[in-house]
Amino acid sequence: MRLISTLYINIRSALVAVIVLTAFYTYAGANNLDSCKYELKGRVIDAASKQPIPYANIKVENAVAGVTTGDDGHFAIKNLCHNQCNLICSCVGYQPTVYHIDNYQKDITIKLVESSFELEEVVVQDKSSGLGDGVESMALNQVTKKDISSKISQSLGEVISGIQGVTYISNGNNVQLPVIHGLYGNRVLIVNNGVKHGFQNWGLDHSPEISLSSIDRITVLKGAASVKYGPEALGGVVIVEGNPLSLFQKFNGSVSTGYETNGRGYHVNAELNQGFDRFSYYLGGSYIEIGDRRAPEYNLTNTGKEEIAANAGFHYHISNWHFKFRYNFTDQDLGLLRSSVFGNGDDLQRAISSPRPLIVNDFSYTINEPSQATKHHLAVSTVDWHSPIGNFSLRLSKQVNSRKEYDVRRNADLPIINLNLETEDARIEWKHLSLNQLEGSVGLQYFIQDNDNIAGTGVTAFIPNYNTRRWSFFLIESLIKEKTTYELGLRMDREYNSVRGRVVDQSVFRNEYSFSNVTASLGVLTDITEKIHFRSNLSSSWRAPNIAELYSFGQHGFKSIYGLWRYYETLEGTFKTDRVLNEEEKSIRPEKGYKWISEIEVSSPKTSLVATIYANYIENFIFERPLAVVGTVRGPMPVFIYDQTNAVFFGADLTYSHDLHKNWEYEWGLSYLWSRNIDDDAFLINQPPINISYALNWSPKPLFDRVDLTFDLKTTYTFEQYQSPRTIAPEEIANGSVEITSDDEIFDFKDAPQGYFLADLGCSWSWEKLSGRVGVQNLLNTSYRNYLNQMRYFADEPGRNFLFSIQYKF
Amino acid sequence: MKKYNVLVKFLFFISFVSSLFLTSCDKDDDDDLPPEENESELITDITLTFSSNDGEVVTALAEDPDGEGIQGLEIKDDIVLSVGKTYSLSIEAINELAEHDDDHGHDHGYDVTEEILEEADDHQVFFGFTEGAFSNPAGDGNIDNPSDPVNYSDQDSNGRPLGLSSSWTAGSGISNGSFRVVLKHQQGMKSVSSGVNVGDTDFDLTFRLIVR
Repeated sequence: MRLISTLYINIRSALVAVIVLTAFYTYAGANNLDSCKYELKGRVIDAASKQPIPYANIKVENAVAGVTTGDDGHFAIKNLCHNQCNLICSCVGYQPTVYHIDNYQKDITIKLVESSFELEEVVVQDKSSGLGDGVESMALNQVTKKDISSKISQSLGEVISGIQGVTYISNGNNVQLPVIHGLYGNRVLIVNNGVKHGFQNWGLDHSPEISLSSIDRITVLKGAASVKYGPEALGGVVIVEGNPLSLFQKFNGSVSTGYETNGRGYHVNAELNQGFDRFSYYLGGSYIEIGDRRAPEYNLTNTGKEEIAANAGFHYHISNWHFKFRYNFTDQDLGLLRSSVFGNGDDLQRAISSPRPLIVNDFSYTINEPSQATKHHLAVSTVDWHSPIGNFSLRLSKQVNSRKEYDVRRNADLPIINLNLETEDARIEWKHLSLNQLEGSVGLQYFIQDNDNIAGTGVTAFIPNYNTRRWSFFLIESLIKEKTTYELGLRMDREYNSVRGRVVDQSVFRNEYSFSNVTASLGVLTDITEKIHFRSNLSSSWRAPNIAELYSFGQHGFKSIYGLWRYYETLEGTFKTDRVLNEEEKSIRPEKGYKWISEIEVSSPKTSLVATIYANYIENFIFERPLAVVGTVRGPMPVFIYDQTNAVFFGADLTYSHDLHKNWEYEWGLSYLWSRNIDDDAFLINQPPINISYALNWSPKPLFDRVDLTFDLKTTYTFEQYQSPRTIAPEEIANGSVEITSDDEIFDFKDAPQGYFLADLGCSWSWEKLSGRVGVQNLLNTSYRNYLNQMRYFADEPGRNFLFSIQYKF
Repeated sequence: MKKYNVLVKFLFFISFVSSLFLTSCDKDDDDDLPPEENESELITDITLTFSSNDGEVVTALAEDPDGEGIQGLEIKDDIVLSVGKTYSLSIEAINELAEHDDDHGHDHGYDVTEEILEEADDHQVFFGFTEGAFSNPAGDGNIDNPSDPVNYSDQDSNGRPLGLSSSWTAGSGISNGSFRVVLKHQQGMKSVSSGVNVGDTDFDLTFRLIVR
């Protein structure tokens, strides 16, 4: 403790101290006849602890070679050709610093600030993601805590949906999955505090159990960053980072609360932080309760939500070592629209054709069936060692995910799905020292998952028990040549799966299968001029078929669907489902994606234009193909099989922003996507329609010279999805007027909804330690349906919602 | 001394971290099976048994032998009744795919009928048939109009009809009629007026009906 109190230094003073204190500069060239005779000596120290930093890199700007500091932090550069230059000083674990030298300076000491500091006062000059090598050439967008804190009651998908090219696909208000460039589910990787979020990621009705209150920053990588992050990044990666665990921060924290009128929802949230010179910690927690939401004309019965989240972490630092540990817990209880349950074609037809949901009750906070109750634990520990030969990083993680789903049925009190999924991940990475502008890292990763069914559902296990093990090796290098950075990445994955399931007579089936894959990434990042930046990346990625795509069997809603290993075609061309297949009988190819994404950014002090274009080709794309209509005890039912095809996605995202005079700024955005199943020359289902947005911000002079205000208006127009498959009404299936064969195109039960215009308005304010926001979503109380919401068959989206939140920071 | 402390802390951290990881590895087990379940949702066989006062028994079976599999439903029998006779109809729903030995010594599958009886307050069977096929009830059944007559012989705890057993008096001869039975699951919605359009369908079957 003595050490802590004596070495305690305020973050502000540490940052200010990045400037030179003492310096030592030797002017060696007595005459200028030999032009490269200048010599420079100095020292690099930690801005906070004043300890010398060994092995820091010092480079003269635009020169090839550099030097490294010795054990005492000293360095010397000889043969300089100019007596004025910029020194670039970098060291793993610290923020790189540019230091200007001229001949008037006699002594230099370069102070470096730890990269884990919260950078509120630092203007980030380059558009660096802070994610490290290998993904700088990919288009990305970030959402920070400031934007999240007033939206704690929303979902991860909703918060990032303001980014062009990004939206969410939902199963009601509480289950929302991120969509990047038309891909979602197992085709978008969700990385939670460095590790793949281990959850029941199959179907459209499971969203990641991540509480927004635990998030410090969200990065959406629009490239297929599988090399760095692992399989499933075909569309992109959503990276969620928790508290930065900064050292050198006073005891601080915040408490906040909020209320929203639609659903009468409220939330409370609190967090504490403290950082010393060697140790820091944080603690946080939140509680959210929302009742039934309301569409403009009726209640959306059983759409409430309850969430409890807690998170904590600590950081311990000794000389060249950093130890970090984090724990996140999320407990969610999510209601699904009561009127979304139906038994057969007649019931579905009634539900679909009714202008309002069939069941509308009075407002309630109670969550009845259908519902989902999930608990997610995440523990991650990392050890970083800044060694003389680079940075070694060891990361271990464990996640436990339990999911219970309740359905309207005779045994409604029993969960119909009750699963426990444990995920462990170990990764070691070596980030080598910079060698002639070549920076990079190599790593090994071991990932295991264990999925178990819990007894007592009264139904045959929908998803079998399985164990997955995956070994991965990756290599990422980037070469910096003046204003251009080249990136290259390579990854090898070997995955083993063991599956044990039961068929309906409770006899057991088993299967073991494995996949191997090599993914590669190639990218370039360059400054064409000072105002024009260009980045381009071509990456491959892959994923194994998920467990539902392999083993689904039977009715799910108003259709029967069979996984890739649950059906086969006989020589006569008829389809059978009487046995479970395995790897030897039917070889399944994994999905492989090739995504090329380029972005050009043109900026001036007042304006900025960012244009992103992409093309994504996915081989062995798994989709649901209609097969036939089959009679069941509930009446005729359409039958689907999971099948594979090849698909392409082309699109563009545009953002143009302009700072007008007097604190006005506006931003235009556009997202466009064209996608196709190229084998069948058919549309794909559930693809995001064209979207245009316009946002206007106004920050007037502070009120009474003390209260900062920002008003924001956001309007969006979402077009009807014209690239939607044909429609076959359930009625036509039930009464036999439509025939479906195995080579038919896909179809939907209802036409894509019409386009709609939405407006949100808000005002954020801050006064000393208090800040808050008053906002209204769906200002015009528009009745509309969202093509990407599975509940669009039954009900409108929620109507106008006033949101109030207030935060006290100390 | 300071060095020593650091070392101790470091070792503590490493052991802490690895214990976290290793505890999970022990229990990792590649051979655990999903639990065996009494499949209570699935119905494969529905039998309509018409028993007359004089001992005549007419059964009609509808069967979906592979349950959730792709093989379709088969209506195995026509319902053949005798003109003017009165029958009591009982409906039995079984999941033949569940190998189930319950307390009653049944080994012919899982009896879903018992569950329906237990939750009678949330269930009702509705009937629809060719007009004139029966003299009692007259008409064409209560599918098209819930207030039309059907002679239910059972009721739930609220005194509302259930329909697993009912009474029928065959009318005049019909050579190619139809007889439709629909079981609705009306959780929390069953009422005096709740017809076939309320709730979710558990089965919906149409048999050929002959009265001679």
